[in-house]
Amino acid sequence: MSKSQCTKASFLDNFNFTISTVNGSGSQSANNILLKTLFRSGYPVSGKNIFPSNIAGLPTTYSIRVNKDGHTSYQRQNDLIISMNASTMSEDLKFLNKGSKVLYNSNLKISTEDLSTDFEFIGIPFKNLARQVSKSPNMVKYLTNMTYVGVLCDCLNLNKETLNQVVTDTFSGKPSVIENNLKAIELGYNYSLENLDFKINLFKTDLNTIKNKILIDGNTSGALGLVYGGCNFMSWYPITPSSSLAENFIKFSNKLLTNEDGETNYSVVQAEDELSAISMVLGAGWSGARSITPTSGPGLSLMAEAAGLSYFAEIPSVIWDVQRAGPSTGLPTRTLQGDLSTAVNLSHGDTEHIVLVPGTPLECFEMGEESLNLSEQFQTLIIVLSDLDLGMNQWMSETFKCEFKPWQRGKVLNSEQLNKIDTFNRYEDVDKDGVCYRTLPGTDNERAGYFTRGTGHNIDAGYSENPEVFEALLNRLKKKIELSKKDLPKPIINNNSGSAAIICYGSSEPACIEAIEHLKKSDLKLNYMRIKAFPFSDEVEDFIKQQDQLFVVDLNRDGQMHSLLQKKYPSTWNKLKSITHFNGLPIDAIGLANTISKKLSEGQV
Amino acid sequence: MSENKLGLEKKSYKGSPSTLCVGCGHDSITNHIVSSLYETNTPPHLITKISGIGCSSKTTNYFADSAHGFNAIHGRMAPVATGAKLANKDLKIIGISGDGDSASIGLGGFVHLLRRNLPMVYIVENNGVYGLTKGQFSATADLGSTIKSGAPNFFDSIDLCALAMTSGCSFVARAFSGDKKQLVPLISAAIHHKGTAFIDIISPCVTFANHEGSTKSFNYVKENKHSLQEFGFVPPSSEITAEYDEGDTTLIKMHDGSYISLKKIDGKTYDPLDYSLAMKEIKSAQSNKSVLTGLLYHDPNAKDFLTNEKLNSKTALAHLKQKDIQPEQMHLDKILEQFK
Repeated sequence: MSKSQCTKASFLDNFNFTISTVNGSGSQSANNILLKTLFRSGYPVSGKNIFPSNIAGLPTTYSIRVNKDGHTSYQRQNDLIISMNASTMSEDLKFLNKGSKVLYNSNLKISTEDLSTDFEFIGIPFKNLARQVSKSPNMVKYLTNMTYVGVLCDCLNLNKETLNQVVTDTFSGKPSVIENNLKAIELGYNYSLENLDFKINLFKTDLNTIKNKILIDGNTSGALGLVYGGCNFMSWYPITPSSSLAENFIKFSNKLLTNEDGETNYSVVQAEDELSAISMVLGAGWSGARSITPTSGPGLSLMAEAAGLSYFAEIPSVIWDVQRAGPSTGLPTRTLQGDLSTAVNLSHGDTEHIVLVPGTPLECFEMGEESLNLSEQFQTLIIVLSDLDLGMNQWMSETFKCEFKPWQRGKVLNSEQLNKIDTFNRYEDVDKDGVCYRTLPGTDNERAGYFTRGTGHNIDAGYSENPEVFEALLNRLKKKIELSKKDLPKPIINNNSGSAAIICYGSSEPACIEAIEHLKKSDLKLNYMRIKAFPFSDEVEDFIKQQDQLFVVDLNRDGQMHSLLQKKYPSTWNKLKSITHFNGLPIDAIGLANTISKKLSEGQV
Repeated sequence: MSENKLGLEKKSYKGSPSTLCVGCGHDSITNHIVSSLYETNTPPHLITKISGIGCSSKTTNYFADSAHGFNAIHGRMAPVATGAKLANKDLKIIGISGDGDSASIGLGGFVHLLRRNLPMVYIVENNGVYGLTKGQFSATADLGSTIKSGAPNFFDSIDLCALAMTSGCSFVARAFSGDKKQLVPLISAAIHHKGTAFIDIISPCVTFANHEGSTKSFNYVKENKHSLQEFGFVPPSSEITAEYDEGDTTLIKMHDGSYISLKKIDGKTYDPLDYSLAMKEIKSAQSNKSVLTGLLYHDPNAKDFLTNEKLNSKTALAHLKQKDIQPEQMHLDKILEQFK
């Protein structure tokens, strides 16, 4: 196909392509630069990094999707593949649309003769191009990836100045790195100009679409939210995919929470294990700091015992769980929503926790402060359930504005307040809302002290095995968590005069919204609700009652949200249908739409 | 009744009545802690008692009644104390743990707290058995010693002092619950130490480990106990009034101007600043099956965790106000620039 032929073709409204590499080759920088260049050019984009649990040498793919309507859900099917990994070529082709091109690294020993004739293979000597910039094998490895960025800049008609600016910003402060990368890009760009005779014509962009928008991951967003939300104690044990939340928090707080004397207004401890990480958070929360530990599934399991202590002894604490695919070690670098049931009842006995589920980077930012507020307001554990897709992939987002509302510090009595009351009983439900008054250690008042324990206790915090006292305590805790629902984030609801509805939570929103749009084309209208917290607010119940049929979308095998809703609203159990997706990849919209459409037609029969 | 410098009587440092077995070594330790807190003029509201689970961990309830206490979960005294201290640097943390709590289920937390040198007193009330579950061996039970039923222990014991030393602890002592004369000044010195002060206190379990085959019974410890020195503590800003024979007594200055005094016993010199010597003595006591007590090792210059962390030295994190610490929007805008 010649360039002129291609120009006549209509503009593509949706374009999804995948770069197939090995991890540890520096492709991440190249892919992010490409993604950001598209973003700055005004294209609504999303980037999904599907990477292995490994440091170097295993296959990794990066998919970039550009969509005129702003849909950003994961699309497995590609319109183009950049193949930098000979070993995965045939696997990669399984998800390539017929007639599409494969730009492969002709410096690798790839024989295209045996491969399907459905595709057009174009060999490009990426490595040779990189060798023109540097002789160092290590540099060549990195720069090889940058040459495909240059090639794509030409093929996708991207503005080279925009691309060069992204490179300069990315490697800011490292002039020689910038120079080498720009050279590699230039070589790729020129190679394309001189040797490739096709263009991919994307839809016309409008820079307004990205006005006030940023491209950011949920872990970075959460870290910023925590800094602005007053988190001053964090303990953590490194675990994928949550580590970058802690690392970003350290980076930002080092910058923003260090005082004039060079002393810190926060403390971060890298703990010896998750048992200690959560225990430190309990110690700090009890002592009056706004405290959190980020983790993922296996860490969450280890934190179970202390989670019960937080609930039972009523100590403010936050766990930020960036979910990965379980059970067990599972797929540490893949995404799932499999921790929901565990989170809600984490620990033995009748334990119940407040759970927040962010669905966007902005919500990660907001829930930083919100989770800390709620933990102190309700003197209990708050579990934030993010996931790998939201936490580690780049999402387009509205920019963040801190609202600077007063932090909720909860019912804490200082020395003066203690002097004004007749009696202080740590676990007395004075306000009849289930939340009691506490004091902090170090309060200079002889009435302040009390004894915190995970054993049965009376209102004065004394040890008690009294049957009635124990029952009353468990009932009060239940009441407290139940009453918290009015203060939790409300669900997002779109009423589209549909005859059925989708319920989802967390990172599956883009796929659900797109599925609804897609089904609308076939005259199937669906209402929509995304749940953001447990216990469910009244709006959740009202919405369910208004619908005839609801599809609950879970990224786990057992339909954990579906089960929770059925248990909570037993009278609606038969109109709640479960849709599950649990292969470790983000859910794709068209697959979801097809499932719903099939289920709806089955229902009519 | 006499009062300390805060105008408080000793009873101000007492707690609820003990519910442990009559004659339990732990109750003696509780009394010594009360004496030390009283003698060191520790403000009761700053005392923060933290423990794990077990008979030993119950004792935080039996002293300093007006103070805050936290009887946490099994093996987690160390990390809970870490969080509490970092959130409020002013607290005087008294951590009480047991041999099950620290040498088994909480071993990781124990070692890592010592590595970090968190300022606190870390006491293990060590009786070699799990008392609260009725007398099973703990990891500090000596090889060949027996439980009450007569079954012998086939495993080497974990020597908590040796472990503390290899973990970087800057104040390591061993004592016997019945030795008030040694223990009260030891605890006082521990309270003044800027870092983790670890005291392994052999504290006989009268119910499950006070029999013939136990190496942590009252009789065994009394017969096999050897003190390294006559230990004394001189609080800060008090004049050293007692006469010390320079050839006989060594004074070690602590960070706050207080002193540790070490008087020779039987003319034998022991230098607690000598790490290798301390390790050697611990090992040789282990082979001789003797109970070596006193200050084993001390590093007065070790940097503590809060100093290393450059933690705000004026205001406790828990007391920082939103207006003082919340960054302005412009900083957020600037950071977000890189995501555009």
